[in-house]
Amino acid sequence: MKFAFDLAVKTALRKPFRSLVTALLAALLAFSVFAGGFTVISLRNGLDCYQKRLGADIVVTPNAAKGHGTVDDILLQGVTGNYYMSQKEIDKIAAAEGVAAVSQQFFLTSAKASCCSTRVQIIGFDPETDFTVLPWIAESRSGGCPPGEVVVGANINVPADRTVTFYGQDYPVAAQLESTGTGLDAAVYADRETVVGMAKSAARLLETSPFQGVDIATAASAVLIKVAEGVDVQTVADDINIHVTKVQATPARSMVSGIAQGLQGVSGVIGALIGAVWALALIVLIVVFALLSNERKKEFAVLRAVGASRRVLTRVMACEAALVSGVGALVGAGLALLVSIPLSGTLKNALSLPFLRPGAGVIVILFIGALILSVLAGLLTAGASARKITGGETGLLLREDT
Amino acid sequence: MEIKAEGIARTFFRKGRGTNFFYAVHPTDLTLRSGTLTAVVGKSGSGKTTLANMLCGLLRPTEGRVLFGGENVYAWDDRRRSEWRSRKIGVVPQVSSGLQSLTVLENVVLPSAMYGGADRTGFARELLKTLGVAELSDVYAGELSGGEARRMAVARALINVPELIVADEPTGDLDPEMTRTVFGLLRNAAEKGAAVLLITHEENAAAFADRVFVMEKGTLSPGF
Repeated sequence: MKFAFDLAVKTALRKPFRSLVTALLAALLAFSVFAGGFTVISLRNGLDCYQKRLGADIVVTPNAAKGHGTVDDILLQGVTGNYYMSQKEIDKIAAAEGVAAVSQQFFLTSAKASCCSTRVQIIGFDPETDFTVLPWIAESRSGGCPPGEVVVGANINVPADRTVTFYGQDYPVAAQLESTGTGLDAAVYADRETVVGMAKSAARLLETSPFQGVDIATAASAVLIKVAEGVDVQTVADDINIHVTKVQATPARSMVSGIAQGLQGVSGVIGALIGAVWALALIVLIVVFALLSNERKKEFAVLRAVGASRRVLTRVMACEAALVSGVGALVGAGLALLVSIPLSGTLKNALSLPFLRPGAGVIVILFIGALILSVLAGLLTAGASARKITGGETGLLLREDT
Repeated sequence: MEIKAEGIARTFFRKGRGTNFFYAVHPTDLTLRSGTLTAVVGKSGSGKTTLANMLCGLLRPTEGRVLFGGENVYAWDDRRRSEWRSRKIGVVPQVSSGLQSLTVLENVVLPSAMYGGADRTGFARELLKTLGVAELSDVYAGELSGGEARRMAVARALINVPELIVADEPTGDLDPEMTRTVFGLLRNAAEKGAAVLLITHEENAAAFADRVFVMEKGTLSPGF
């Protein structure tokens, strides 16, 4: 094996152009596997997390939410939105047949002005009834979100004094949540009373109040519903849409399935691209190794003449392929790693889909997988060439050269 | 030590009209004994190289067998036959080239390095000096002229002090003086106990040989 390895190293170094072409192809393969895999896994993670965070069977919003700053926009893109429904509608929703539990959320958008630290979506939840935000907070800290404090999403910059200002009032940051890859990461959470307090400050400070005709104390922006066991979600949503005016009930499943369809489309495109890159690179690799094997027939015949067995020749070719494609794959996967992580934000915006970067463990597995697959491709094509050369009789190879 | 060919023959197939199979070597008996230098002379295409390749395990005969120590070498698996070739045989192929990624010295010690043998660098330098190419030791094989490559191949064939040397046109590109040097080296190897098969065009080879055979149209017959 040492002989084969030494010879492979010397050959690879002595033929830099040949080695470079092979390494570049391996780099391309590894890059496509890592970058493609990273994107698809991030999208799947995003969808999973979105599904988990949504936590409700039905989301009800006022009709005014249609068009801009919808719940979808807020959850996925971090778009801000203010819209409200009255207590009368909330009561009707809660009374609908098949509803097991409801929880209200109150949305408020902070202003991009001196009164506020930053412009974000503020979501007020009802600690008494909440079944979506509190379980999430519980993953980051125990003790929930105390009144008068806020919990911020992963993308919010927390000042050193751990205090944020909204409409002239300071709020201590109780915790920062884990990333979800959705617009939820750009939101601030507090109990309903705290957010209503912020809204009242806003009404005082802003020249044009967004709460004209709305009773802030009892209004809600969204009502999240859990349906009773065995009840059809769509039936409950339809029932609410028919019997409660000025609101839109959307089954969470259909919100997720829309995203899932988008994800499937993007995954399909990425899969097709990876497939095309692999097919092309494999064809080129096969051609390169076939040309190399013709060029090196005489060399291999000499090696056979001085006593190299077929196994030794195959090892020499395998070592050379593994060495060159290994270096190429390392560069390709490394480059993909360097590019994918910083560009994941841009990619998320471009795809408009939940995008949650995988953890270090998955990244390491993906990296090693990309290396193994690319080296394997190099080994297989080299192996096919070695088989072709070593399959024949050396005496005939020597005759061919005369 | 002796290597014995019993009725070995080799046919080839040529595409074309009419009879396509032909005998490159007709059934031949030949025994190579240690301490003797056997020369085979003949025209191009007479079957000399085919005979040499069959004797050193590089080309399977279509008929007959090659015996070494009483065993048919073509009954062995590839690994055993290759190792036998590496340890017992020194081959100078007709096309005397080397591995282009290795230097002349590395090419010469190749047979000894392949199966983890002793370091023979000193002996390799000695051989290269005798063959007049010592100054090319660190030059890559791809940079050599035909004659230089031929001398490198001769040194490589002798590096393991083999029991059998099969030299196929080892003096093809050499001047008369160097031709005498190469023949002298082969003669010397025979005197030290090797069985040497010399395939050549050179008429003066007879002066160095113990036995001379003539190959004509695939048939081997005792020569002058």
